[in-house]
Amino acid sequence: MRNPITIITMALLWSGMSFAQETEPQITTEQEVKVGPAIPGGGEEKKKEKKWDHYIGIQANLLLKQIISLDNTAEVNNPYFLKHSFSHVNMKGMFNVAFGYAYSRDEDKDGFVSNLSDLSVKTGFGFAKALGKKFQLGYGLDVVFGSKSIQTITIVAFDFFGGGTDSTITTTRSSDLSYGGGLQASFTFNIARNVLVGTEASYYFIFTDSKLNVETERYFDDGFSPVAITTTTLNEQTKRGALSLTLPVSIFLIFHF
Amino acid sequence: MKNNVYLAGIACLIWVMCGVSCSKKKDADVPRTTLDLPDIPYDYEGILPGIGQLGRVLFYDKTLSVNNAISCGTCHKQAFAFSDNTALSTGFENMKTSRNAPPIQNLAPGIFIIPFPIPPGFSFNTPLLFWDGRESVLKTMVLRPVFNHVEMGARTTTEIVSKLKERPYYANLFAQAFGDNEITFDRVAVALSSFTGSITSNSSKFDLVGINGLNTLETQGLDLFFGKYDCGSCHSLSTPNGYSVSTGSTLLNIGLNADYSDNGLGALNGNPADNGKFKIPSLRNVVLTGPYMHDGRFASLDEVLEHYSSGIKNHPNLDDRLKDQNGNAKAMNIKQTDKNALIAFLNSLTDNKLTTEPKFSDPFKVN
Repeated sequence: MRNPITIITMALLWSGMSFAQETEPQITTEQEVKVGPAIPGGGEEKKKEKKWDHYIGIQANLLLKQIISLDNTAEVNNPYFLKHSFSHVNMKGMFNVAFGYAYSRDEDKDGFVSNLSDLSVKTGFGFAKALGKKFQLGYGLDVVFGSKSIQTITIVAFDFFGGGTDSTITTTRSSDLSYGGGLQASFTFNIARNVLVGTEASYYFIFTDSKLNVETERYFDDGFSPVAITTTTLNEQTKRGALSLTLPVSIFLIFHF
Repeated sequence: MKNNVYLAGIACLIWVMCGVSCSKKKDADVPRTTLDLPDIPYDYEGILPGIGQLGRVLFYDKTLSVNNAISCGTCHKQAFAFSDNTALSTGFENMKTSRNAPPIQNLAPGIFIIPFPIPPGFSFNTPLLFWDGRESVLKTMVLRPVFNHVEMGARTTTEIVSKLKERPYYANLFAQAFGDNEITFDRVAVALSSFTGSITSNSSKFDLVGINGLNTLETQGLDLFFGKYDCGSCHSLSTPNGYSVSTGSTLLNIGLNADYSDNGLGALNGNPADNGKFKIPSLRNVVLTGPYMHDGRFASLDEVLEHYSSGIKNHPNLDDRLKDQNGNAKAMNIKQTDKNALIAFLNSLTDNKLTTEPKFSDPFKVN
């Protein structure tokens, strides 16, 4: 976990490999696709020249909220907005990869600037059990990784009696690096051919390494003496581990191909 | 082609991981502030004027936050009866708080009857503070947001005192308040709690003209409030905190959810019997204090009334007053005309003096 970029890259390459293999020469023998191992839709239909099943899911809570006014204010704390599940037709299980990212930049008239970057990635392996023709229950194990960083800059300029100025520039940089894993469960429903809706819950143990750095530069000008510049730095690091439950309140719209 | 797309995706991720540096704003672009205080401090209810003035400056001074970005007044805005006009407030790192900022008013229970100035070091004891009632001492309460990791993010009391000592205006303010210019953290707490405790709302139409002075629609709303819909069994208009102590607990489950993501008192004490219980808020200035409920889920009073009309959910801890004869969640079925009357009555609880009084206003003026 020391090099998160490597891990994410590997996770994506892993998912990418499945696409890459699709481009290889296909075996043309007809084969029967068994019941979809993690998410429904595979069904018992026959497909030609297909070695891999892919399911791409997009978190659709906001979309649904726009369409249907649900009287539901439960917080959606699932950070993944895109997930990809794939399996070889001969496999009993399915690989799962999910990704979420948020970025925001804010700036106000008082001299406050903030940048937020929040990345969440998970990968894992799971199985599924069909519940009738339309429903399916999935379960499996995941490894999760998250990285959140926030930078803020605040500039305060205070003019005081006598013509002096007291200005302070404060920069904070905080980062949360989290990693862990645990159980996940999903529930999906086939709403059309190759289109599904599903939700998922998870119970992860997550370690988080949090760092905060605050740098303050103060420029004090009393109007007579040379400007006094003072710099102070605060560094803080905390580590914690916690069990984290994600309730099945996020809805995914899933496409099968 | 697909491999190229993936490589591009990986490149984007690496860019994301490395973060995006934010440019520093030019100092010249930043508004300059000055401290605008009266030569003779204002009078404050029940406290020495110097302490009130110091408390006012501290309340609005962003120096109390770790990065000088947030003051108490950032989330507790005078124009909204010292509440925030957003569901969840924004903390020092621009992150959202977990609960709605409640109004600050009438927090000192004895404030109307203490005939002499409160000596330094005195702390007001109030029944319950915060949505989950976790605090009852105002002097301690005012410091919790200062050290909250989302709200103001301060780390240590030493750090705060050190920063205040750097500000050129505090030596004089502390001397005015306490007789000498020593800046200590205890004095900060005393001044802040004294100021917040002195924020009193008692000049609404309801206070000034009484029941007989209300117009027809307001009177109709009053009758519905205390009569048909029995709102008064929980919401008192005569107690400083706004809840009817005589009816039982001051924290109730009002059936906002069948399953709460934030369990309020239950999350605090770990007792499942308290899940979903939150403090009954004061209805003074309620027209100004939206969004409503602990998570700011209701944007308007119409939505609040609609909750009581048809939106109460069954919950094991649902208050008995919100259950029907069969023990299920009650639907009050409030007619639109009744809603209009209730809202008209609630409007009569608005204290415009509180929201405009200079002694409670932000003394930091932008040039």
